[in-house]
Amino acid sequence: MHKWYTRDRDGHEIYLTEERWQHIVEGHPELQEHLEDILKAVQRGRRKQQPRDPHAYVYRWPCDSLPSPFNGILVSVVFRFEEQPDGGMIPNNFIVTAWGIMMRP
Amino acid sequence: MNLQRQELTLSTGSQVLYEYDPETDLLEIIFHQSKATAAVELTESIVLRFNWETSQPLSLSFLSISHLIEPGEYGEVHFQLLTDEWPIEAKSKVLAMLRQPPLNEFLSLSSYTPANSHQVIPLTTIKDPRLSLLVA
Repeated sequence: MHKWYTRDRDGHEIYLTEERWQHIVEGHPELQEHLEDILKAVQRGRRKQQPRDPHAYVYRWPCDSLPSPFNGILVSVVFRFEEQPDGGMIPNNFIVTAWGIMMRP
Repeated sequence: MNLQRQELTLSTGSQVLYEYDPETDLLEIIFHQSKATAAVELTESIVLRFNWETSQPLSLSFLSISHLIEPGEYGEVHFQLLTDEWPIEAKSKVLAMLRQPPLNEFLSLSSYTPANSHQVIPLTTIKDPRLSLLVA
């Protein structure tokens, strides 16, 4: 399965799977032409931890290429670890979903 | 992805689709499958997509839903509405939607005024008991 990889401003590697991208497009079709903008939101956006789940974050980024009145993108990312055959752990951070949103300028 | 989907009937008789992703704990309640023309972060963990022209809600998304519905030390948990983040022209529209079906079947509005303050903090509570059964 294809994956797109990017890094946030703090250097965390985060990926988006083809399957989750298809689900974003089906569920939130307003983002159909905005795959690159979703990845940019992770690269450049402000990260905020979910108040009751320390492994879940959202990235918020102003984006002027969306149709009005949308002016921003919100991306949900989970931060996990994956166990390796040798017992070591590696980060497994991936995009869950994304939304076009209206933000106050 | 191993999504769990379930159709439920609201008190108004309309059907909604619950879509829960157990891998990421994301719950989406879909009222209408349609392209949204607007959306706001209601709270830090709840997103509302809607049709700007008709004020028709399309979906509610809950991030980390199993954590959101866990009662706190003092009972049910209230979440701050991010009204200051919404464009001014969206505020009255969103609040009107929240006071009506179908959104008022899932969320209730309240407010809190801290002592020695005139500031009113708008809040919401997740009130549908079916949600805890769906994500159990």
